[in-house]
Amino acid sequence: MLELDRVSKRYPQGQTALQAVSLELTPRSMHFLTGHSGAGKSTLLKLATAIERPSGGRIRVGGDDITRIPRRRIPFLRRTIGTVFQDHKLLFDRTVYENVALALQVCNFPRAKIHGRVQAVLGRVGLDGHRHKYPITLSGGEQQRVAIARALVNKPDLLLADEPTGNVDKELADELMDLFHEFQQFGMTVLVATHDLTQPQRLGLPQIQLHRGQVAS
Amino acid sequence: MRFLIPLRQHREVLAEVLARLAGSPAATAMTVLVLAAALALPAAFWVITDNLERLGQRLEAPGTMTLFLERDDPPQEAVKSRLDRQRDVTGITYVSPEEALEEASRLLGLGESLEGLPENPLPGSFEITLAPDRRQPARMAALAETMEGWPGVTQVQYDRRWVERFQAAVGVLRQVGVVVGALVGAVVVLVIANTIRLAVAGRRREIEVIKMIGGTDAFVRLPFLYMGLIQGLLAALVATGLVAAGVTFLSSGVAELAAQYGAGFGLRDPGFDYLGVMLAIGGGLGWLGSRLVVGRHLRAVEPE
Ligand SMILES: Nc1ncnc2c1ncn2[C@@H]1O[C@H](COP(=O)(O)OP(=O)(O)O)[C@@H](O)[C@H]1O
Ligand SMILES: [Mg+2]
Repeated sequence: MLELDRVSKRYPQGQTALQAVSLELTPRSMHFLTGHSGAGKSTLLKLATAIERPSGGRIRVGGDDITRIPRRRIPFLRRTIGTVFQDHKLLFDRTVYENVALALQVCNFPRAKIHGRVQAVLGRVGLDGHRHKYPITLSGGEQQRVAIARALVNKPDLLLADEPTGNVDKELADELMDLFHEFQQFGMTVLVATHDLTQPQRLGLPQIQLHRGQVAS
Repeated sequence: MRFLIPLRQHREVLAEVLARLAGSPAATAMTVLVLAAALALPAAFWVITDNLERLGQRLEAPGTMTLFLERDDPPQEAVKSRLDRQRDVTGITYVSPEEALEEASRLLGLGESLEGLPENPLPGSFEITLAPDRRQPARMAALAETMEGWPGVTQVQYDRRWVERFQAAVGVLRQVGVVVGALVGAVVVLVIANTIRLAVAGRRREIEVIKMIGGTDAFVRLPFLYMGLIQGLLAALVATGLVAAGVTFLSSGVAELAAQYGAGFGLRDPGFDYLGVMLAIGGGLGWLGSRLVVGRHLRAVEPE
C-alpha cells in the first residue's frame, strides 16, 4: 500500500532528515512509526502525501509511483490518503459537520450523498451529538476525533497519523489508538507516527523505528 | 474530465461568496465604492463624448453651398432643373461669369481694371440655400458629393471648417477618455488584486486544509475568482448609477442652455447597452485582478 525504496530527504537548508529508508506496508496492516523527536517521522509522512519531495529513492502509494508526481495530480493522490495531524488542523469558523463535509466537497461529492456519509462517520468516531457544535467548544480528544472523521469520510485506503495523541492525556490516547486499530480491522492500512512507545506493546502491533533518519532494526 | 468543476459546485461557491461579502458589509462597501469611483471616471468621459458627438451631428453649418460650373459651355439649364428637384434645396441663385468677375474686382478693390482681361477666367456658379433642418454635416457632405458627380459641375464648396474642428476636438476628447480608461483599468485590477491578496492571507489555514484533503487548485481558486468578479460587477453597477445620476442632475441645465441657442438638445441617458458594457468591463477586470494574484499566492500556501 505504501512502499519506500531507499528514500532519502535532504532539506534545502542542509539537514538530512531521511537516509536510504526502505519499508513496505502491506494492505490492511497497521504499523507504528516510532523514534525520538527529529528522527524523521513527520518527514516520512510528508513524502507519502507529496507535501515534500524525496531527494533520492522511489515511493509508491497504492501501486502508483509518486516519486515525481506532477503538481496537478497531487490532489488526487491526497484523496486516497486520510491524514491526521497532531494539531488536527480543524477550521474554527465551521461546525463539526462542515469540517468533515469539506473533505467530500473538495472531491465534488453531491450534497445528498455527503449528508449520509458524514452522519455515518461521525457516529463511528463517537461524535453523534456534536454535529452542530464548533470545534472550539470541544475537548482536545473530541477535536482529534473530528480530524479523524474528516480523514476517514472519503474512505481512503491508507490512513496516516502524525502524533495524533500528542495533545491528549494517557486515557484519551489509548481510546484514540483503539479507534485506529478498529479501522485497521475494517480493512484500512494504517501508519501512526508516535514517540509513545507503550502503544505498540499495548496493542501488540509492529513498529518501524527511525533513528536519525534511518530505519533501526 | 475530472479537472472540471461541476455547475453545482459553481452555484455553491457563488452562494458562499455572496454570504461572505454580505457578512462584512463595511469592507465590501469600501472596496466597491473605491472601484465605482474609479470606473465612473472613464464612464463619464464616454457619456460626455457621446453626447458631444451627437451634438456635433446636429450642429448647423451655414446653410449655403456653391456649385461651380465648367467654364466652356456649361449645361446650366440641366443643372438648374436637377437642383429644382432636390428637396433639401430651398433657394437657387445663378451667378454668371460676368457677375463673378464684377464681384471679384469689387472684393479686390481693383475697380475696372479686371475688365481689361482678354478672357474672363471665372466660371459661372449656383448659390444654393438648404432647408434649416437639412444642414447636418453628414447630410451636407453626402449632398456635395452627389452634386460633384453631376455633368457640368466641377466643384461644390461650403464652409465646413468649424464643424470639422468641433468634431476633431471631440475626437481628441475621446482619445483622452481611452487613456483615462486604460489607467483606471489598471487601478481597478490592482485594487482587486490587493483585496484578494488580503483575502487569501486571511484564509491561509482554510486553503492549507483544503489542499491537504485533496482540493485542486481550481477548487481553491474559485471562491476568490468569484469574489473579484462580484466586486467588479457591483462596482460597475454603482459607477453606472453615479453617471446616470450625474446626467439627470445636469440635463435640465443643458436643455435650458440649448434652448437659449434655439436648439432642442438634451443630454442622453447612457441606456442599457452601456450598462451591459460596463458590467462586462467591471466583471472582467475583477476576475482578471483576482486571477493575477490568486495563482501565485495559492502556490505559496502548502500544508505543513
Ligand atoms: N521544513 C524543514 N526544513 C528544514 N529542516 C527540516 C524541516 N522539517 C524537518 N526538518 C529537519 O529534519 C529532521 C527530521 O524532522 P522531522 O521529520 O520533523 O522529525 P520528527 O517528526 O521525527 O520529529 C530534523 O532535523 C528537522 O530539524
Ligand atoms: Mg514530527
